[in-house]
Amino acid sequence: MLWLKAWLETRWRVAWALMIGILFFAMPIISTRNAPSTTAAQVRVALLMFLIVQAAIFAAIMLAGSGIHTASTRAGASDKGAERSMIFTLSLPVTRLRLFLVRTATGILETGIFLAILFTALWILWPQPTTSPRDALGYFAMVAACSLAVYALSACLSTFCDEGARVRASVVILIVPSAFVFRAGRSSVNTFHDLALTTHAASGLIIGTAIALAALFFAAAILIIQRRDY
Amino acid sequence: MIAPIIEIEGLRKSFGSRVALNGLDLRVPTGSVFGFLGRNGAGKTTTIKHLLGLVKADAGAARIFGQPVADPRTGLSIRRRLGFVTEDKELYPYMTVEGMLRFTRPFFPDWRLDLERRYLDLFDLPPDTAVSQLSKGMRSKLMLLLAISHGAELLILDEPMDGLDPAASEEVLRELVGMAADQGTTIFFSSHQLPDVEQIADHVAIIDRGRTLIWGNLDDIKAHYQRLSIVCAGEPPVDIGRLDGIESIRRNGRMLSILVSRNADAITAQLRQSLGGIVERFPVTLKELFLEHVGNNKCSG
Repeated sequence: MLWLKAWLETRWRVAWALMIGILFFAMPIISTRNAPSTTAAQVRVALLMFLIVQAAIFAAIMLAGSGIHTASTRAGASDKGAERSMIFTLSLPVTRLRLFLVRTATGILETGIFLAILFTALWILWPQPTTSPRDALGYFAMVAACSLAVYALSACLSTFCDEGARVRASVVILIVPSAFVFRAGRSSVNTFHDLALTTHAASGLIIGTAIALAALFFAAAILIIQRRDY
Repeated sequence: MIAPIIEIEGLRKSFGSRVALNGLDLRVPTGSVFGFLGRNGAGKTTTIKHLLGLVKADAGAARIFGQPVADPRTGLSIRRRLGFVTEDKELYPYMTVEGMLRFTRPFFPDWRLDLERRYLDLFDLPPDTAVSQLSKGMRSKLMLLLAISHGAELLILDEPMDGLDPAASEEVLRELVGMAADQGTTIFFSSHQLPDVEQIADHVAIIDRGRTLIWGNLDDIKAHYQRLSIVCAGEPPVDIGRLDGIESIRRNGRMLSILVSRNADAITAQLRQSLGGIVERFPVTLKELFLEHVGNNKCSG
């Protein structure tokens, strides 16, 4: 039943994420509708590869509210209902760890399915003769691993922040280091360069680092929920 | 002597600089209806949350069914045997009453459908209505239904009558007393409704600033505590308060109102002898006791 509860609490966020995903898909199509067909296809794919990363980050943050957090009744807002009812959930014969794992697994599953839908649509709609399935899968793995790290960071924040603060903090934490990266010399995002990474050892390094970071954030989240008072 | 179902020894808990529990001691006898009283912020909810494993104590220990509540493994089996009504009565707003029942049932292997149906009818809860559409009183009833329906041995109720109208409150009180009498369920509840507590509780504890001020059998407490009223012929002696058993003295002109906790006969005789007036003895209500103890503690702090 905890799975059902987790799904009921996140289903609107999944719907939102899918709507944003559709919007991200529509943007390159609309913006290149008057361009010559060969150029249009290349630009569309380039844009989509870039937008998929944004969509993945967006979905990961959106669906990562799996930490166990309780809101005060004084918080007032009606959308705090799920957080306020956490006291009832915690009073049931269920461990904090199990509750966290179910909520986290539901969110990861939802994010994974969202990404899979996006990549499948991309692959079906715009097959690239220059991109092998292996490269595409490698790129998917890299985006998925990085999304997992973002998800874990946001899930960790959700153990002590309410929903609004969690989303804001996640965005700020992601933007600040990105700004330094851009200032350090990479002034634009070259999607084909990113795609090329899949054939490079750097791809494995990125995936490994992302998974290690995710593990670190999840471990921190578990430590926090085991120790904190509700 | 029956073993206590809840035992709390020297429980301490601080939230930053605020001390919530300051060496709280308590024993709740098995099968009792136990009223847990205190002002707002006295430490009632923190105590209840600790019993449920939601708050970790800085020092001291608490046991339910003889098992430590702080141990996550025993905490799980403890929660399987008890029912809980939260202070704010918040349930899942996106579920219906029936949905809440479907959600809660699997957590309790001993869930009793007969009890569920009985209280669903008794509390007049509409199964298809969303929790978000229920009033606080209806949510109180639904929470009580969820707490009762698995045949809990112990009910921990944080302000269970909060939000209920007088008729519903009476109905719930009657059911709680019936459960304690028929099924031997222990009921540990906090409330600010002192007449309600006096009506159903056989044991009470009054706490303030995280410490237990008085606790025990309500009849015993009320038998020990008496109010003596005396009109003094002359000026009352200043050392009157030193008599063993006198808790407080109020003066209103020549009228003295004295609360005694023991030795009422001896004190009455001594007052008659030294002051020469007529001493009248009155039983005390729970409200008087509460105000006397909490008020005194407030002044002395």
